[in-house]
Amino acid sequence: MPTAHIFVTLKSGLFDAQGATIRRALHQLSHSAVQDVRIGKLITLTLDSTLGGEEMQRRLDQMCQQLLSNPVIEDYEITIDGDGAAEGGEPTLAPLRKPAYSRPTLGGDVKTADGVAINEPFALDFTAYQSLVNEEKLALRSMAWQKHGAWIMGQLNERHADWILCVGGEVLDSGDTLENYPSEERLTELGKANDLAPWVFSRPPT
Amino acid sequence: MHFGIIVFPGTNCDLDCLHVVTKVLGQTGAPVWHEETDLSAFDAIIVPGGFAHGDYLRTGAIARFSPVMDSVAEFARMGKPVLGICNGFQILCEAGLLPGVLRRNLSSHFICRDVYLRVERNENRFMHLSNKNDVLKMPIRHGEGNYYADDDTLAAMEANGQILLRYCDANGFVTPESNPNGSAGNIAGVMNEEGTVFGLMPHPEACAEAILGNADGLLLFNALLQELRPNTPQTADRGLLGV
Repeated sequence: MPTAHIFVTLKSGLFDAQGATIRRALHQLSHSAVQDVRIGKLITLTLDSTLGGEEMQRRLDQMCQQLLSNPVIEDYEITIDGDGAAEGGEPTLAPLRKPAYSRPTLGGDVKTADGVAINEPFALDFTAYQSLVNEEKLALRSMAWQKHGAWIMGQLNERHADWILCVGGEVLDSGDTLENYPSEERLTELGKANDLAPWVFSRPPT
Repeated sequence: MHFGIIVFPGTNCDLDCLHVVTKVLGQTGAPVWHEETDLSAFDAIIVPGGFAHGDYLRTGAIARFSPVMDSVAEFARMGKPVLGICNGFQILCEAGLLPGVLRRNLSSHFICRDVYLRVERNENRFMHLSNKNDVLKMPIRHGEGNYYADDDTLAAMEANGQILLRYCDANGFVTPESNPNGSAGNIAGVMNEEGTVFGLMPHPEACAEAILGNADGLLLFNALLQELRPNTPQTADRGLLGV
């Protein structure tokens, strides 16, 4: 049975209140790398295989315009997988998007571009750090908490800080509010200058 | 005057509307289940608030395809008044009977409190008992009241006199602070081009009795009565409106 996946997203340029709220929450969880969050819907339709090819596409467009999206504020994108598209003639649609990356499990799992496992986030050089995707950075940050959690808490407490900025196990900056988080530019600058990965740790919610 | 009050699965302000129509206005009214299609007995239709079809997908998105909605559109085409309150406003927008759409509140919070509204236009059947720039107080209770329409639509609505109510402060100033939900231009209520359909986020049925401490909502209901009974003396004096 063919399956249609319909992604409904807010038109670009429209402010996404839910996304902004989630971005703030992510920042509070110290995922300060998150620049923007946009929320959409994934609607999965299982279709019988009597429809095919262009007719299926036409009908799905109709469903999206009538009910599944509101064209005033939303865009939609349809992908189909299963045997239906091929059966009805030319498969006109791209296959379902696969997630680009699956979240690594903790410990030694994150590798540099050369395939070397990273065991010490503080010792990671900046070029290797920059080549990581966000999930990998998050996994490494968790690793740092696992290995150096007591030290990090000690540094936070010593400074009465809500966050600290560490490069190579040295605290370069700290702050007592989540508002004055170091910017992405500042992190890049410090990382480059020391050729080491810059890490920001914030106090876990109590 | 006989009011039809549309009831979807999940509608919850239908009885409040019926109470105001029958007990406060002294008129007659009847609930209309969303699968019915005959509205010929009615002089006015109210699409009340609630959570029609659970607000699934988008607020009002599924309700607009209920069988009764074709009849509501036809009812308006015949020149009879349709009033959409809160979820009813959302449904009328989704159905294309009113321009624009109601999005999630800017704060992402459900808001339940009194707001002030400035009457922008009164040369219509819904607000003709108010003076222009009058400040009314009504309660809102919604999570999706953030009115949006593109700039061209807003400009056309402004030019056609379709924007009837805006959120304002107690003194009638339309300010960003008095905008509870992020609505474009502080818009709280809009009318269609033909002047037959009016939708608003605040709940006039929840403030239509002096014993509740606020009867500003009566202005709207009484306006409907007097529109259809031209012999009733019109007045802009809110003190004389049975309050």
